[in-house]
Amino acid sequence: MKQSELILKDVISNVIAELAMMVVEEPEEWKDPPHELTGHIKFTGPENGKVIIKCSYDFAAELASNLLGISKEQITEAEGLDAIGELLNVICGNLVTELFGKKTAYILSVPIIEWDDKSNWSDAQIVDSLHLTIDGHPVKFLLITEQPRNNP
Amino acid sequence: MSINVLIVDDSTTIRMMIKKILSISLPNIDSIIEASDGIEALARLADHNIDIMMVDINMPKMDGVKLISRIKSSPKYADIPVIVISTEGSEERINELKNLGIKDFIRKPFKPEKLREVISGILEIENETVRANTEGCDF
Repeated sequence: MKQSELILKDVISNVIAELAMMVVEEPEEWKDPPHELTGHIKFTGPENGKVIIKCSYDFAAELASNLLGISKEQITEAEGLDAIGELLNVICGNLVTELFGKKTAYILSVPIIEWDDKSNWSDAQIVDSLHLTIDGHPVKFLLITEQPRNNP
Repeated sequence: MSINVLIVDDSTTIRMMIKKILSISLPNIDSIIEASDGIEALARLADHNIDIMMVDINMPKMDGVKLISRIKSSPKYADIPVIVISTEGSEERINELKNLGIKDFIRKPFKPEKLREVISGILEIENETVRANTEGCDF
């Protein structure tokens, strides 16, 4: 595993454990499940990029249930999606300081969570891709940095 | 002494989490008011007597830094203690916030005990200041 992937995995594990008391594991085998939700958050600073999450709505509801201390059945769709957005926000904020240092401030965008993956990453470069299970739910994380532009 | 708290965060999840922690740990809270961005927070400030504020940084419409700048430059609101609860962790941003006059900074993710400890500390100082200012007064 690359150094940046190890940092990404560490940040995700620590955030999930502290925020929601859920356990992050690396699955022995991975078969891309049908992800219903895709969320992304952008970071802007000396380095620019995005953190992306792909997961099921069932995971979103379970995360919200753990965060709010109420049963999964009581979680509304808006609460499930908001929980994923907040998870991305906390992961991204912690990730940029772990990857690029604490000196400079980074601006984070408001996280966007969508039901279908309408994103177009063609002008981007995937740096890291992590397949994890969180309390048994398959969740995929991607770290993307902007393709450096070639000056003529 | 009853207190009014304003929580400013665009995430309903975080607002609900903070609300729960405050309700359990601080019995003297009179009301907890919520706002999802800086613009809404300014409207709530105009409508309520707020004793302490918890503010996120990364928000739409008006972010936390702009909101705190506005509050601290207003004679009416400048004395309200502000705690920033954010995912931000850079020295540059924390120094900027300290220079603006925030009371404390809590980085997300945080444990409920941390929030309790920070708020209790601030309210204790505020109460002591009120006591010191009123000691010896005849009214």
